[in-house]
Amino acid sequence: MTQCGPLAFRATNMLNAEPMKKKKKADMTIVIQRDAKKRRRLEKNIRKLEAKGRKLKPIEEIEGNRNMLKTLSMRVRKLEPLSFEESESRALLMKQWTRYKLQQHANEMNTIQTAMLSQQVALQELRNESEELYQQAILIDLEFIPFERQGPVNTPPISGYDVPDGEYVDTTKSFYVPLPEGYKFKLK
Amino acid sequence: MVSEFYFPRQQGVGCCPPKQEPEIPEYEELNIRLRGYDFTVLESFMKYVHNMADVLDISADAWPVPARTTTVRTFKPFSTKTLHEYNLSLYERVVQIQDVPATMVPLFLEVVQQNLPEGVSMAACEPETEEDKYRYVPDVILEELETQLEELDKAKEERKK
Repeated sequence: MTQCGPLAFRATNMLNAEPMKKKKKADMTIVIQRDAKKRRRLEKNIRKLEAKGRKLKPIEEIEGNRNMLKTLSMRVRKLEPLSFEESESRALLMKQWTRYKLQQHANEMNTIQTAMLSQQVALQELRNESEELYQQAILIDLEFIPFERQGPVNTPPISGYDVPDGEYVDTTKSFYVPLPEGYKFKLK
Repeated sequence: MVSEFYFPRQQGVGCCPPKQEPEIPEYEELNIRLRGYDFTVLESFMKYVHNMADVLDISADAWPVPARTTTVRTFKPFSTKTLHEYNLSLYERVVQIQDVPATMVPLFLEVVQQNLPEGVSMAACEPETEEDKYRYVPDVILEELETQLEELDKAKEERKK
């Protein structure tokens, strides 16, 4: 007798695959070798990329606004040529200013020279007194650095100033462009 | 033939003279960081500091650093509605002085501090890698490779355990 209809009932699901194999434990020496090889390649690539040089961020205040640069010819003012007296007085003023700056520079240099000289004399005297103290005196002062100072401000603090409410938001451009999803750098 | 009496032959000229250990210990590199909201003043002061270093026989180098920008908002009283908005850029210039004797540094910095113009602040500190990194556009591929390298290092550490 032959059976022609399908056997419609099953006790368990059909298994169309072998049972899972045991995970093979990778050979340690091979793994180490593979990692060493990968490391060498990575290091080589990094060295190559570093040799190319890094790209500096643009300095906006130096480069200027490009749209503004295009309209530069429109912005030039047409001025009347200076009269003889005016140009003469300006030249004289410039000379006076130069003389003043020169004098200022000379005074400054003088002060610095005096300070340097007296420092040297003091150090020499100290050395005559005791070599040990001298050696201590010329050492690098570790507490001196960082040396932070604030320049003068436009106005003295306004007493009783009512500070308005507000916020500071850092908007510094980061220049960071993430790699596209799934991008893989090919090691050479 | 020039007499050697007038022009004594200098020692070590021609061959490379060995670098002598300086008598007074030296700062190898020192960054003088200048910051301010007005870059014309800042630039001119950077020039001044650079010139001053040159005059005092200190080798110096100077470079600009990209500005840090902030948006400042003030609120209307008793609300968070914006009353005013300002965009401020804090400009930065760095003057690096090299191989300065330790006794010279306080003098030099005092000169710089005495001449600080309005609204400019200074800070003298040793060069930091973080500060240097800020000047460059970040290289994403390089960073990626470096993280991969770090991962390898980590795997190596774990295997040792």
